[in-house]
Amino acid sequence: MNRETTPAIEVSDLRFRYPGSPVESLRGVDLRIERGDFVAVVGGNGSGKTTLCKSFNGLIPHFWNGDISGTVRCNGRSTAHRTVGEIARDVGYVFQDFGNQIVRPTPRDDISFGPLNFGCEDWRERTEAVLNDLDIAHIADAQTWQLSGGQQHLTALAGVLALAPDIIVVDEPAAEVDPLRAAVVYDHLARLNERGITIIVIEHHAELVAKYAKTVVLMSEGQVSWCLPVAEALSRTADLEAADIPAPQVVAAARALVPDVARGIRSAPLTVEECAEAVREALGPARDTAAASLRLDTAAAGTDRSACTPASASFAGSETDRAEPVRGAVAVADDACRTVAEVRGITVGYQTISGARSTVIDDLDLRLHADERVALVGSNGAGKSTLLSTLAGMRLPRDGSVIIDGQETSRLSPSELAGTVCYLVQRPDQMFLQDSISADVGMFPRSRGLPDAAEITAEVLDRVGLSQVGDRDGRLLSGGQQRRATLAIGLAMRPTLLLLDEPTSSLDLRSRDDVIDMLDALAEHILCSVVATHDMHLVAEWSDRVIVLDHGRIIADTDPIGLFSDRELLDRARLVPPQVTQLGQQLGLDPLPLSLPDLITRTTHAEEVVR
Amino acid sequence: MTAVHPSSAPPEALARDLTGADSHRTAGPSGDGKEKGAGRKRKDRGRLSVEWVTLELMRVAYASRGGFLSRRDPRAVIIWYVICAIAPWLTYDLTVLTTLFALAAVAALSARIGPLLLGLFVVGLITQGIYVLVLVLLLGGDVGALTGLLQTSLKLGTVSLVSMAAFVSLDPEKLSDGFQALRVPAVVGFGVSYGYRMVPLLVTEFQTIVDGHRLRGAPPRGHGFLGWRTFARLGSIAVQSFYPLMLNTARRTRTTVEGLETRGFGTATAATRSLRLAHLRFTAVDAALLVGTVVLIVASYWFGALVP
Amino acid sequence: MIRSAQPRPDDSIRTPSSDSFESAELRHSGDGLSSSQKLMILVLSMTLYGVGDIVASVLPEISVGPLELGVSYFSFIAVVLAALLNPVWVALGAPLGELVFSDMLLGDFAGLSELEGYLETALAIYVAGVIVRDPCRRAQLALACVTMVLIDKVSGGIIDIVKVAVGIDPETLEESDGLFSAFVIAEGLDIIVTVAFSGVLFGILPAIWLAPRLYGKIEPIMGLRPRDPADPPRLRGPGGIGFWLVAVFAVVAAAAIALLAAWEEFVGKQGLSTIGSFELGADGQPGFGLLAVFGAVVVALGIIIVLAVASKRRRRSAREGEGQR
Repeated sequence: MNRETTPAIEVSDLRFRYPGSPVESLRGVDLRIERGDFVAVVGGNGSGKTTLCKSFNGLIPHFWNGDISGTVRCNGRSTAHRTVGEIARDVGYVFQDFGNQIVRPTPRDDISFGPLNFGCEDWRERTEAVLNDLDIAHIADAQTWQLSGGQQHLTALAGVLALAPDIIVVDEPAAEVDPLRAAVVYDHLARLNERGITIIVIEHHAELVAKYAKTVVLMSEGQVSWCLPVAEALSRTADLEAADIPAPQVVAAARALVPDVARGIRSAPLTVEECAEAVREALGPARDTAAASLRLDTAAAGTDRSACTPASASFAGSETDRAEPVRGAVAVADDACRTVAEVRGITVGYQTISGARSTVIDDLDLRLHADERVALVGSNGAGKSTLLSTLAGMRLPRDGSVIIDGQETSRLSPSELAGTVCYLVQRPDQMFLQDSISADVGMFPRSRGLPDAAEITAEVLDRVGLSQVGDRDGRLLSGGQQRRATLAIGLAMRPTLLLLDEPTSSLDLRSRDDVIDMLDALAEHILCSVVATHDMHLVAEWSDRVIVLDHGRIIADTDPIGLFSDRELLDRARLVPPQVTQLGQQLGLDPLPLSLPDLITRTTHAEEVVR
Repeated sequence: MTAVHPSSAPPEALARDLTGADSHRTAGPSGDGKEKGAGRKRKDRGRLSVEWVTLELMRVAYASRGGFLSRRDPRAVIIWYVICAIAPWLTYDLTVLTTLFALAAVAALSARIGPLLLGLFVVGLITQGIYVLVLVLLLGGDVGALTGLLQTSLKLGTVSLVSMAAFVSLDPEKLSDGFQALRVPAVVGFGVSYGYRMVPLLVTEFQTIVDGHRLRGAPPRGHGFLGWRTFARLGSIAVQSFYPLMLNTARRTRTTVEGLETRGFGTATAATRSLRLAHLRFTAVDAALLVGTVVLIVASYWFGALVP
Repeated sequence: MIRSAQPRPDDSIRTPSSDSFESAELRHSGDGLSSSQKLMILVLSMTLYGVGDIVASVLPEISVGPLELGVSYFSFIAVVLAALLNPVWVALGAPLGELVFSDMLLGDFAGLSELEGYLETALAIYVAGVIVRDPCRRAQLALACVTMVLIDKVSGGIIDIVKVAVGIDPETLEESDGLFSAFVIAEGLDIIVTVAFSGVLFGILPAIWLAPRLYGKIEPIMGLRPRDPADPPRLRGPGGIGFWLVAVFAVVAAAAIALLAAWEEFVGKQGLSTIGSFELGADGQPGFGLLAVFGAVVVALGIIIVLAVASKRRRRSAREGEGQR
């Protein structure tokens, strides 16, 4: 058989049912993936993406022994008669929860694990080569459990690469790391792909698919709906929408602003630059003047408000319903607004393994006021989670004090504080303590002996739209439902101050939008919310105050527009603005647009003005 | 908001240290009762916090303190351990046993076993001493019986000290290499290495879950007689925390084993073993360590013969 | 480079080829588990039991010598896992977790006798797991918990007593009557306390709460079929050998290991210790004083070490504090 023409993966009529499951997860899949392709497998929750990919390397059916029929061939050889270990030299697999894939204590050791198991004489050279290839030689001897998510992901990828497979499957590379780090992984994958390695990713960030993939496979209900080149695939927005993959913002913007794209005459732009180009063309020569007048309009507005503090300038350009309150420093000045939390000169640290004390938060001052929606941003290790747990009173500062609603946290026990401050940790499965969502939501009201505990539970579940699944265990819900369930737990505690750690990480875009909507709706019940996040969409669409942390200090206290306009600040905090904001920047809009409707109304409105 | 119960603070403090309660071993469940009053300031309890215990375990596991055994060949350390662990069983002589015990204590301290292990050991030693004293009083003059008991205590103490010294000095890699060199089944070596990797993660996860119970669960309602309420609350939180922990760990384990499979753990061969162990070097210093140990043990027997 | 997702025309002719899964005999052993699933159950039970052991060992307890008024282990973890998953692999994994996590990590590794403990605990967990046919039935779970603690403790106790019986110097055997009876009483008390605390408080109560909640949830996560009450696992040795044969073998092996340890002592007694055997006064009175003094010294020594370590740490942290200024 000619190796060059043999497809990398060939699946025919694959059917699979998990043990104990009433329905088939794969219902007759036929698929052919060519050598050297970069394939993105997309599809909604439960469409069988992961199940399909696990059949490529034999985990199905050799590990998950359900009912199976059909054929899977890797490099022309059937997986039916080979063990997972044998197939591993053809197909490498990076799991979604990659942290658990690392089995040895240091990256160097973990990377050599595979080659050693297969008895490769050159395991040392392989390890070194992979370490250098992925630029992780500097962490080769660190303890894996102390690495950041991005570093762990690269380590897991390196462990797979050390076996030199010519097909690599990566399950949701962007799920648990911030976007910039996901881009690092993707850049490595693209480089490997140039060397001829077939890359298959499961992904639901359409923006990443657009940027890196060559081919897109859409899965729905256990079958392959279609398998198309990326540009064509992304213009099938209806199919993608149906599979909970909203089009990238650039595509949506182009469809709204460029008639040719909307009519399907012109293919959708995949990058911000392409989109800006297309929009400029569509709006024609009049646009420049339009933009100029637009700039004049808002510049006037801007000077008005720049008399206030940076935090208050946030709504200069946005016409949404939350433009009305101008708080921030104004509130501090006249004290009209209630201070919910006050942090005075706190220093927080951990003890390190060497016995020394590290300082995570360094002499930090902060005031949070009623009716604020605060986004806490900064790179990994900047101290976001530590600041949240200190605000919640779970951790006490070494120096300084935290005053919540007039009471010092060090004078109250965490359980007394729980009614005032609620801290929702990053991983939902750590919030699910009971065997059903309703029991988890009702846990706090019941334990505090509130007479209307049952009503509170029912009402809160209803509000987050989970009444139907109230009796199910939180862990068995989909990612988006899990986040909403944790929000419900927080709501039932009726806190004054709600603290959330990465509420939108590892969610597909649809679920993420749901969560953002829900946070919007919470505003009337909770005085002040603080969200630590890497998600710039969340920052743009939800927050009205942005606090940028770096090495335990506040380096900026501003608003979304202030953040996205400051190149230097973005670089320092390793943040990437949402596409719509980048597009606004390319088009010369000032102030920057924060949401798609905002961008669309302002560009079209400007056009009308000129006409 | 909950009503502030006057005596709610101490059980909270106890619960806070649920996984790090080595101080409570000595104090007993009722010992901490009067420690704090309501409204008193909590402090940043660096020492007895869960993080401290986790870090301490990690220091033990990864031998980051150094010490005289940490640079030795793992086989030498294991053989050293076997020699030292067998030595006390070959005699009933109290002098010899005491000498050996003292030597073992010196070895453990110079292997830098760290305060957590030392603390646990000393607590065990103290209770053992109390037990001996009580038995002495109960049994009156039946000394023949107690000699045996004391001998056993000394022997076990010696073995315990020696094993602390040895296992503190071996990081998981060395330990599993050592096991593999001695042809122990591969899954034990893996278990050691994996266990050491997982303990800090799981203890942290357990802590998060316990914190969740403290925040969202019923607030403590005083101590009760001999602190039984506290004990019951702690016990029930500890037990309930295993429900999420078991499910979350099941998920982790699944990925880990899938990962193991895809990286050929099941197919490991003799070649794997020789490759993995190729870096082991049994040096002159290792030999000197073993010879020196044997000489010391013989010397203590000789000393025991001289001094009755 | 457009690929068709449609079945190619030749597909219909090629059924079922030698490459398809229908033709493959997927390798599963008699109990329906693949080797990786066995490894998974083993690793899971090892991890959970190990963590449980660490938690149990830092829960407050009053211990007087070998007699502990507290939780000696979380028997419910092993019972629940053995009731839900394949008991053989839970039985092999859980005691391994105890060995690796708490004994080695906490430096409490006692060599040969650990092996003896491993065999006893594994046997106990296996039997307990087989007793539970339906993880939702409380009576079965309760029986399983008590059985587990009893098998573990009684077999351990018997072996301990045998050890003492064999290990005691024959010359002083008559004097040792008191010790011997004290020992039997202590073992008995220990069993009662352990059954009460580890068997009931931290066995039955948590197990009947946990097992029905986890039943049908933990298995799918791991890709396993939930236990079918109509077809429960049966007491069975490896390779079709009768279970009781294996059980007897395990107990004999444990006893043999214990005897080996005792024999070592005996040989040691005859050989080396006669050189400098420590002769007590015939009346035993000086020895009494000596022991009392010794006990006091041990206690004092312990307290001194604690204080020394504490003050050293205080000094060091003070130094660090200065260093930071």
